[in-house]
Amino acid sequence: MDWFDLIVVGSGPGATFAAYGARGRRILVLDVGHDAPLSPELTGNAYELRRGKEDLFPSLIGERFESLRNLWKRPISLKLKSPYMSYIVRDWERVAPVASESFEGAISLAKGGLANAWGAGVFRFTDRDLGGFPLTAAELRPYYDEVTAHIGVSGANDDLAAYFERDEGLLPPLRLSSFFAEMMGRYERLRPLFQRERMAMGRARLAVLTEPRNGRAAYDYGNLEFFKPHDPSIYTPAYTIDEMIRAGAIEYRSGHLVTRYRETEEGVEVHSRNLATGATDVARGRKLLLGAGALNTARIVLESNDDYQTRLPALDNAMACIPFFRLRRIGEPLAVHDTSLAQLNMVVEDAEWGEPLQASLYGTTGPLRSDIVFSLPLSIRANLVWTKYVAPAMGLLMLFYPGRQSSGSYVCLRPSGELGVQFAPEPPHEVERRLIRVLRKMGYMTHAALIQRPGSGAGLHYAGTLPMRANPGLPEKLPEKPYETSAEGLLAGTRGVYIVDGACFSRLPAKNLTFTIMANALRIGRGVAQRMGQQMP
Amino acid sequence: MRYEAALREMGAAGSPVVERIVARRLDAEAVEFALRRRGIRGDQGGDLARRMQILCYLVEVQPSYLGEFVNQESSRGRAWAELLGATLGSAWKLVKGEYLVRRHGLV
Repeated sequence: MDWFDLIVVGSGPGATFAAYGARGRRILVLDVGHDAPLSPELTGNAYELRRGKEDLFPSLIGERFESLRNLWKRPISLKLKSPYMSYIVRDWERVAPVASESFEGAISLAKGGLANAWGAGVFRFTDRDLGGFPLTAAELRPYYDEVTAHIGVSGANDDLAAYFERDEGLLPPLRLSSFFAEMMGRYERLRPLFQRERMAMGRARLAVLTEPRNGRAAYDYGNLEFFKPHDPSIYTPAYTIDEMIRAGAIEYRSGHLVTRYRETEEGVEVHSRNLATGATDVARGRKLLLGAGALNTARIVLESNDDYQTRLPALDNAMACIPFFRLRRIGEPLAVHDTSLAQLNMVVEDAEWGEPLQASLYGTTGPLRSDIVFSLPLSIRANLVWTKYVAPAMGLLMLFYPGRQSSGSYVCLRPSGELGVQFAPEPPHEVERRLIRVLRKMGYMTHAALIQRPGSGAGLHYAGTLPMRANPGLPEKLPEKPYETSAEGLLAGTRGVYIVDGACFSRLPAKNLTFTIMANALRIGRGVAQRMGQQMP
Repeated sequence: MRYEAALREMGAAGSPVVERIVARRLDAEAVEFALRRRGIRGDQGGDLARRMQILCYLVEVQPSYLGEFVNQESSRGRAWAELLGATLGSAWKLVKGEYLVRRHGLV
């Protein structure tokens, strides 16, 4: 029987960086691990490809009509439904089902997890963001720095550095489209207005290379983010998993869905369903690092405790999408050498929330027009004309709200094995009207009636199901709150089960959490490995 | 062919509304718009909208139709003229669609 120092579950940002931090130990990674399909024909620029003679139906729509799935199935993010991207959410509704009518999110069983389609937004948490965590920004800083050096982050230390922390390891930022370059120029001229409104704007920090690095090419403004997986310039944890496999740093077993664990005298037994054979496999090791994603990690913990009663808290960033228009740009050609990644960020101090809210600003060059044409209020032909001429004059401001603790937001396990997931909807807030006022003063046309609110769980920033606390109950004692973790990531009531993904977040500020998951997992994984070195095997 | 395959993939059965529109050679765009404005879903109207959306996707990825979806040249005057025309045309489609829905008992 194989015996490992560490068993890591999953391959998303948490699992990957926990394993990365623990390199040198004998590590087994158990994962379902759907891999990205090859897409050799999608090379270059999306619009130049579409101008060419080649039939792009298989790549953009798919032989199984993957891109049409939102017409007849529960809607998911546009980034997750195209033929070569849909592997990211393949099988989860069958293999790891969620029982919820309102849930419009997704779970990933792919190698690299949902971070295969992330917006690549990199945000350091400040001490204010970490309120409630038994951690400080200073403690996380060296891990943030190490992750930055590993993945490559582009951006600038500009007006947003006060909110995102300074980062001396940044690559130059992505080139702005002319639409957003004009917007940035307007911001610089109107800075006093922003200061009065307690808002700031700056360049997006992204896990995207603007210079070649470690064999990865720089970003080429190909506009294929909605269709092509694994653009080498955009970081995904799958790259690090593959590096560790090649280096022999981990043993990676795909095709395994971990269902439960059991602690023994020697360590821990991890039970997984072999998806090829249907058999239950058991792996044994000294410590277990759970990084299957905040929802699936909660599922494994509840299943291991045979607990079909407890409702664990759940957090996600609710969003409000505010379209805005520069009327003078109507009739301009679409900028085809562009990006569908965030170009700018805004931060808004808001008295109602008592903490800064963050917004990411996007162009509209990424998705197919057919994805939006039926959501406009005119006849189809008129909607097509509007999308054609207005898209080059349009931006999208995606406002993120902090995750809110609420009795209406929870995760529980049903006896059927399904996960009950509920996220309470976030009503409109005054801050949206403040943003609209400022956009208008900048010269952009917009209106509250145009705001779109993605559905429950659509933020895909799941966190807080097994939150980290300063004193969650020591392992030697009977814990009062068994579903909390310590600052070291140790799940209360266990001797060797660590939570390394967003599940252990004590709170969720209005920032993409992926970068902090990476840094925190690196910290936990390295800590576990170092403490094991001080113990007899 | 792809259109029919897409309908099969979605398990879309025959729709009485669509069959009536085809048999009577009605203006499908006008009827769809009128039904969409009424918020009618399901077999009565949603199926028509869905079929038109499938067509829209299938057409959009064909190189010869790129110009229908993406503005490739600077044309401010033409853009505003087309937007105005399309908006007025849309109002006409709504009036026509409402008439057709009532005249042919499509709801």
